[in-house]
Amino acid sequence: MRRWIEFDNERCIWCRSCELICSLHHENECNPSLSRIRISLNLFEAEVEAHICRQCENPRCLNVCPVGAIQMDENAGAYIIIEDKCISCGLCAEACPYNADKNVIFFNPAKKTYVKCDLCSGNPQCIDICPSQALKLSVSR
Amino acid sequence: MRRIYGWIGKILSVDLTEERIIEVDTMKYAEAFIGGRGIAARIAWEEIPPEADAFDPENKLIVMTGPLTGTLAPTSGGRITFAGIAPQAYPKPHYTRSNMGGYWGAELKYAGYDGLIISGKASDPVYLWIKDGEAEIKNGQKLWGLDTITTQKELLKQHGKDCQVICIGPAGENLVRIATIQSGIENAAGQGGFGAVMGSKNLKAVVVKGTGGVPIARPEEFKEICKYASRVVHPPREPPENHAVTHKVCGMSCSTQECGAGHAKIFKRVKGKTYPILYTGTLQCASHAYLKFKPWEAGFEAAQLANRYGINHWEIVLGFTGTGGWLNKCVEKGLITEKDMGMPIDLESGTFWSELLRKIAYKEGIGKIFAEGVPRAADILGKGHEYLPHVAHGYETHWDGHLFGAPRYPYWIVAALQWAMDSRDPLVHCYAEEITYWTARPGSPVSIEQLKAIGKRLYGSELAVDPESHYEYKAQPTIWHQNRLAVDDSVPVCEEAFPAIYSRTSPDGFGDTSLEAKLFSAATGVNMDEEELDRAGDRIYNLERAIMVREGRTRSLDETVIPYFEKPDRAGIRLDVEKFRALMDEFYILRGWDPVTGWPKREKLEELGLKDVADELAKIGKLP
Repeated sequence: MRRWIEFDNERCIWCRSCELICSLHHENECNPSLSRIRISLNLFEAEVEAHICRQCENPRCLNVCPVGAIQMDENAGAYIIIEDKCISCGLCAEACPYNADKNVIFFNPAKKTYVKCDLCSGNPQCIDICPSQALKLSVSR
Repeated sequence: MRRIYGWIGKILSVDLTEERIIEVDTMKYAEAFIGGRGIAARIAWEEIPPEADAFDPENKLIVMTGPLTGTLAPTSGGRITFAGIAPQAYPKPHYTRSNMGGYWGAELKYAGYDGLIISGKASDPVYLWIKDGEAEIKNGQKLWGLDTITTQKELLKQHGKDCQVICIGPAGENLVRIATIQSGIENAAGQGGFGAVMGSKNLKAVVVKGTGGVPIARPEEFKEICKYASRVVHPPREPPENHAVTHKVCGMSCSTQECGAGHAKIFKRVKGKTYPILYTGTLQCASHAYLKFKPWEAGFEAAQLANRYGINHWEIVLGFTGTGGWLNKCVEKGLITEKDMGMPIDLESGTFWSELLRKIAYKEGIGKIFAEGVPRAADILGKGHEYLPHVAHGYETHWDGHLFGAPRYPYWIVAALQWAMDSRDPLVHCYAEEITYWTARPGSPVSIEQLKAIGKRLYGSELAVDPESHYEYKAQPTIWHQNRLAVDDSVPVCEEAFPAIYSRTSPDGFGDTSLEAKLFSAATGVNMDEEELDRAGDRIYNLERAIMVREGRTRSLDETVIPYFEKPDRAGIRLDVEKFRALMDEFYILRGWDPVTGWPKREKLEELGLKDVADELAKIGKLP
């Protein structure tokens, strides 16, 4: 079963806790630049959008990976990057149609691998912390 | 070197006269003074000459984050303190601090700095550009004169849309004493007039961008404490479903829902009545008063213009009009006329306020007088003193039980004592607002019995919160909250949400006052329990007192709050001056200060590790 995170921009209250908990969970630091969910907030127009892996049905990132580092984590229902296998070629990041700002799949210089949302092995921390239920988990049939 | 967690480890010191930028080690201050307000006070003690005027190049603008800024800690995200000699302070400028939420403070840490010390004066308008460990003084000539929103948009165009900006508008440039430092569409360092301090230094803005992070010592534990804290800190009063559409938080990492939908509302693309612009912005807290003007769109525009000019909402809607209503009363009594104002008076009209704000920002006509703030305006005009909504020190009413009508007697005695001792309006949310105001209302979070149990546990006696009590046991809660507020401004967390002295969900009504210590310890790896952290708060409070004493503060200046509280509250109760003076004696003695002068004693300062401060005060003859 495939799962993915959906974002409701009307419900989002702009606290960016999702970015902070994501980087804390994965990288042991609070750092929006390393978060696998990114919030673009245009205060002056009161507009917000989120950038996060959509866990495509037919993922181009998986298809282009030359070493098979992108695999389905059946428990989480997510396509994840196996960090030990990633050779940092960046083809996945280029192939992703939603990655124009390089914030859905991106290089993590400390890990020296590409990273993206892995749904936290089935317990997405961003959904847990979100105070306004702006994030929710969707499941494919 | 041991790895640093929570703090970044560096403070940027910028001398605008010499165009010199150096880095200062944060950690030499961190252990004793934590961050934010605490470290700012230590730097001020060491670096700001006590005789400096707010607008002298010798005054410094100190901008400090704390170890929790930029982290997941609920409400800490962008939180930051501004400090220095404040032009709004009255009767003469003195040292104080002002906080801001938003996103800028976090970005500063991601860019590699815990804070800024800005000194000197640039010969021409400049702005600072800080990116990932590098800082540059840049030409700001083209920005000078622009409002705060246009300034930010210009800077984002130049440096990228992901930057964060603090800046001043025309009010700060023109040295208006109630000028703010603004960020985004609503965040501001309001009290103090620090916008004018930036203006006096020819510093228009500070733009930051960082791709770094804040390392956390015990990430797993920290994450769980953050989740727990956002549940404990005043969980939502209503189901969150009712919130989300109009309510947005005022700062990063606020997952507490402390401020409900009625507190903050966002408006998109409202058509202006004075200028043909569409305004997008937020109204928070007291600034809702603008919506009472007519038509409401014009009132909303006036609120946005105050942000754009960079004028303090609190002084406008609690001083000039709204709750304080100084101008309204002066006009009603015929003290201030259209001739004085040099413009037709229509106090209910939004466009009237837009025009008046413009005059204040540009110091035109009556605006030149009002730009000095209400207390100085009354002095210049030589009238209206009897209607001043200002309690003392240059600051207007704030949860003192009089103009708001809350908290009721005897609770405002604690507010009065906090007011007496502070350098600005004390943030008395927790005692005056939360427990003693809300508990007297329908739908109260805790019962009177639970409240008494909280009083006994926290302050040592039920009398501290007993509605039937009078002046007894009021110094203890005052001191407890003064120390804790110093902690909360330093780690930092939002004072509307912390400390969690009560809980809507726990069986005995008690919250968890150790949250700050838990968050601080897990983030920094420096283990401090609640008591140790409050001791740091005591140290910070005493250091601030030493700064005030060095500037000339005495007991007689503390007592300047008395006339305000001698006026009847909404129930007709007046301060009993004799009993209040006795309470002040008790306060000074409990604090380890001399009751005659109000100066901290050597023993107290040394006990807190401030021997050098005691020595300095002794040298200038200000140690009792």
